Amino acid sequence: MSLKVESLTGGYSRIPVLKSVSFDIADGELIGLIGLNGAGKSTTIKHIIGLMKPFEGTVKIDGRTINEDPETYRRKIGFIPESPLLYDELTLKEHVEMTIMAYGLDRERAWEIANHLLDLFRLTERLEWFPTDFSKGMKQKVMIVCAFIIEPSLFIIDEPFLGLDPLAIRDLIQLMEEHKRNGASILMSTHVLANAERICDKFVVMHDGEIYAMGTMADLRKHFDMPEATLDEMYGRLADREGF
Amino acid sequence: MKCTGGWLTGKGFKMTIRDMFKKRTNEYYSRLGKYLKYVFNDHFVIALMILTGALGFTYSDYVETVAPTDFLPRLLLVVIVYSVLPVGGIRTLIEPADGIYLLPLEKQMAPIMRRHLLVSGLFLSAGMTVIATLTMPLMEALNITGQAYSLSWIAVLICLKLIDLLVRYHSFQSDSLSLIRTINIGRHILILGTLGLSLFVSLWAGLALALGGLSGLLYLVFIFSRKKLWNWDRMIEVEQKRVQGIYRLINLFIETPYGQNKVKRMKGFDPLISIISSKTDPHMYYISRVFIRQTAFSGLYVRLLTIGLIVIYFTPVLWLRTLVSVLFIYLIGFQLLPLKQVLNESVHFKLYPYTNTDKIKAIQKLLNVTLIITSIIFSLGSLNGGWEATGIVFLISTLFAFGFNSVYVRRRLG
Repeated sequence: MSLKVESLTGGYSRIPVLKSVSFDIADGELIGLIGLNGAGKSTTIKHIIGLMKPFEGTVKIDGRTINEDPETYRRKIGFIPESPLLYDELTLKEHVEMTIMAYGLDRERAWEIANHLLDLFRLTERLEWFPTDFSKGMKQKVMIVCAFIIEPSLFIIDEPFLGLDPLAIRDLIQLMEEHKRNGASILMSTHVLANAERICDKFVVMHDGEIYAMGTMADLRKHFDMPEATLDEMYGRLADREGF
Repeated sequence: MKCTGGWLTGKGFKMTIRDMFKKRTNEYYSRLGKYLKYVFNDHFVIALMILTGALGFTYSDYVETVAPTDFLPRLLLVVIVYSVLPVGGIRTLIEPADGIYLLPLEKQMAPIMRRHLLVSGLFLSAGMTVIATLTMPLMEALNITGQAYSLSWIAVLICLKLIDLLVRYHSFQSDSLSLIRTINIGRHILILGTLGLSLFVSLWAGLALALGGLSGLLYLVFIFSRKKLWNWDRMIEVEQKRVQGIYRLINLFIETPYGQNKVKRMKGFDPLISIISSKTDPHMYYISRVFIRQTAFSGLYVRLLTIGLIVIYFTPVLWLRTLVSVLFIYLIGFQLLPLKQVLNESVHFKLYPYTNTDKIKAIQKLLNVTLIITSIIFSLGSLNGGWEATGIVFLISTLFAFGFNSVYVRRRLG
């Protein structure tokens, strides 16, 4: 699987938020999308998953845009949004069923994965619960379960650690690493820089709708001219430079 | 720093706490007026007139059977008045944020709260006068009222309502839960005692007890507890409950955006969901559950079904009965069309790799089931007109439902 974002310019109501953003992700790569609030991370993600149409530029998965083959394009993506998107009217079990149905998954295989994940996230006893009964962290776990049962080749994960307890964060990181080893690509937007530094192969640092810096930790250190710096320290430098 | 009790608004003039509550009052009544206008729509008024007529007829028949020495009608009056008395509290219009922002202006709340008490007292006294008037024929039949007695009965009920309000008002000033409970128990004893005296012994004695109780409470609230601080938590909680109660009532007839669109599990309907739902069509899987579990849809359906059923049952003429059935099937179908909006607004359906985009088909399937069930229920409501009437209502309603669904719905949603 390869994701290629090329000269992406897009935003809301003809006001460009993103200005010619380009980057790509190869098989088995985990890319951290980093930036201050309002940098354009979520807007980039919305363009990739097809919720927004670019003004200019393209987003391609395996060489094809969403318009060329929407069904195949979408089938390749597992999306975990920043704010859990759940149906108020469906129980946890029905969310899994709905995902199986909408993605045309093999029911037995999907439930096998789901049961493993539900057990991992301690949700097995809550299959009949509604989202309104869940805490934010539990909702996030449901989103994770639904995204992972699809077994997509590209994970788009927006702020996955928000609201999760430390055990769940550990389990999610393990899951991501496991899928990465199996060849899945992951684009993860996060402000939890210590985790990002630990697990990401490369970083795309965004600022004001543009790519500010890009590459491995070594590349970023070179870019910021901070040879021993952590991601957190470089982020601080970025904020200082921009007067935040 | 001296607190002046006002603040500058964006436009530069000083807004006082009094102005703020005045503004809230205006907004409250205009919102309430708007919803009541929808509640008392033409269909509801017709249904209400039929119901009122039927109840009036039954009541007048009952009164004719009452003898002056009867015990049960007196007991019935006690039960009616005792049940009606707690309805309606003090309209304070306090909002949750007031517990923080109005704390520095606490002393200025006293005249505002007194005004709230006065307005609520006057309004609810008018309500009690209506209750007293409605129960007058029964009082007459029991030989309790003459002309002077009629006024006394009204006065008793008003006193009891004011006692009820003063006890609530006192709880706004008291932070002692045990005292609030004790006074509350006292209120119940006083109310039951007054009603017992009025209806079984002497109306004058009842009035004297009510006046005594009222005087005692006036002393307790306005002299004994005068300088106490307000119990904001309680005031907020009570006002929230009061407003929710009103909207719960309004939501029986129309949907308001005041928290009544809830999701309920409705486990008992799971078999029905599995019949109308689909294991292959996510649209159908989802909207069948939305329809059953979201009270905005299921509640509306039940309300229209109930009102329609009552009107059909009480309508004596067959053609009118059929017309009402068709009208309510149209209303139900029409009110369910926003299900498409629910599907359109779902982000999930924009992300799913799902090519069957015929949302309309799913909605039509659901409407077919719903409207046919409705037409069966309406025809059963016509059983009092004989089998022929039942058959005609069912046939015409079902035909209309099919026509509505295949022509109107497709055109409207397409």
